[in-house]
Amino acid sequence: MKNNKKLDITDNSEDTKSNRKEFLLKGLTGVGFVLSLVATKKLSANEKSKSAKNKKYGMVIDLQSCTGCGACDIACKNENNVPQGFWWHNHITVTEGTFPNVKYTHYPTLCNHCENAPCVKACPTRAMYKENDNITMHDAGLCIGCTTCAQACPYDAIAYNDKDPHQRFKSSDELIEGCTGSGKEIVSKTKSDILPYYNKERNETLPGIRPKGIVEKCTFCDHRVKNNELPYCVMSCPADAIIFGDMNDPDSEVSQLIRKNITKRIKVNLGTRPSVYYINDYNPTDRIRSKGSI
Amino acid sequence: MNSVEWGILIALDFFFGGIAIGSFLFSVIYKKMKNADNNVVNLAAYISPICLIVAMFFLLIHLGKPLRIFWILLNFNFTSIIAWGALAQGVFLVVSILYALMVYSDSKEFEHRESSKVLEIIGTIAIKLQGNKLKDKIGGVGIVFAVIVGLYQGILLLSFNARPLWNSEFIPIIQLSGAFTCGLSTILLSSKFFIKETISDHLINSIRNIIVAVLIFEFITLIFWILSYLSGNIENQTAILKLIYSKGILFWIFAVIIGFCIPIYIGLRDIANTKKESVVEYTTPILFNTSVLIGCLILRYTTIAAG
Repeated sequence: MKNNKKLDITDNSEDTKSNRKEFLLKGLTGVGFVLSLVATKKLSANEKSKSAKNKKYGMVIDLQSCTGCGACDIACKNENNVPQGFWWHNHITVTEGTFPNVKYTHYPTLCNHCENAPCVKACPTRAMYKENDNITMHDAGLCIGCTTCAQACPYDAIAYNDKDPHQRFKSSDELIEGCTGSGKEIVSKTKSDILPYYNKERNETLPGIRPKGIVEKCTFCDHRVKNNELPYCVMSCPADAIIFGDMNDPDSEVSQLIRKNITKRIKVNLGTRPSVYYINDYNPTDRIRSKGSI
Repeated sequence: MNSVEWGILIALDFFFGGIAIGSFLFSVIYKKMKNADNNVVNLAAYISPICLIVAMFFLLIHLGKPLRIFWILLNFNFTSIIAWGALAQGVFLVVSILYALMVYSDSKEFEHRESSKVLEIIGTIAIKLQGNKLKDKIGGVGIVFAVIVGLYQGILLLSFNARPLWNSEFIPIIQLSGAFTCGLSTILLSSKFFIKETISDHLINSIRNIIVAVLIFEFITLIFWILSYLSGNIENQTAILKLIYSKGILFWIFAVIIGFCIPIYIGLRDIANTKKESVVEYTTPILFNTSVLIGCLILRYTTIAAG
């Protein structure tokens, strides 16, 4: 063994070689382990995306069955912890014609999850994106709150949190002092943290309550869809007027309804290719009123 | 459904951005001319980055999460016009700062930079740019980005198919010409306060004539836009009525009368009339330029708010 006093290096070549071997082996094992983890994750992601890729979720709304009760609007607010002031699921009512040929229609409206979504194109940070199953999703972590998506959306489906949400439940104000409960009191008596009706399942894919400064919109209850459950507006409709399903499956009810009925979609002329179809739009002016003749 | 509107902050972003574009273009182009007044060239060069920073400030305070703005670069969306615009604006800011520093390094103020600590700091940076080969090219590069940013403002609005009022080819023309008039008016207005030496009447008259010409062109474009929409489909008619009726007071009094009619009248009168009263000579340029600026800002605000 050589002993270099100047540099104080001792020649432990045999030991050094075995240490190197051991280090290499351990290193390779570690790298292999990490690579296998990554590969497994990617494989499972690929499998999920493959299975999701085959699906194209859409919705059919039967205007004949719809009674305009608004249960879908409220159910959506409940399921997604939507604050006061805006709606993910809403409606517009249209009265047309002159007596006796008057038509009143209640149109449930929501994000149309367009195939050619203008909000996805417009978003500068790709916070708005299309999932493989056609759902237009929003990444709350990437959103800068520029509201370009809201300007681009022809359906006014996107809402912006310009203030802290659910302030009512942080307030001690009573509607009738000494009589009705304040929001804060209701939260404390229901032993909830944020809202008396807070749905923690919403937190699986999106913040349960979206913070001030970002946008939010309907996600077709993706947190329910991923667990093979129907969106809550669909479940809550007492008239079964909202039908949800995979438009890529020719046997699904949505596909059959779209095939068998004359369908309408909102603002198709803008090229958005919306995934929400309206059927059975009753039109009294189709028939000119008369008693017939002999 | 949900109504989310852009308001005064976006209008201020477009307004100050327009001033930055107009003053930069003027500085670079005018600098190439014979016997160019360096005081005016320099002032225009300094106005550009300052106004651009002010514009970006208003944009940042409009954002709900301004600290996340870096995501625009890190997660760039190639289909998003606003992402490209933010990138172009960022590059234009750098170029306009470099150009201002280069202009400053050649100026008389550079020799007296020890008089102020701020100027000394700026001077130490400017020194490093002296004799740089890119000096001549920076102006050309800046012109390209200035035009890109000017057009981007209009193209951004034009790209929103969902907003019929903005979905018009006239919008980018109005935005760009407005940017130019605002830039020139700001130069004329600020020269009264920041340039001690007398500026030649010939230069002031030339700038004024350019402003009047561009204002007339912009006004005709505005009229064409309104008329084309009034004779268009129901959506366009509803959209333009929202601008000229719902926002009527702001639009007609501030944008049209103050923004176009008054400066065009003053400008044409001054072009035709060589004799000037001393009071008129002082107030009219201020009135002329202030009217242009107020009109431009209000036109932007009403267009955005009515969309």
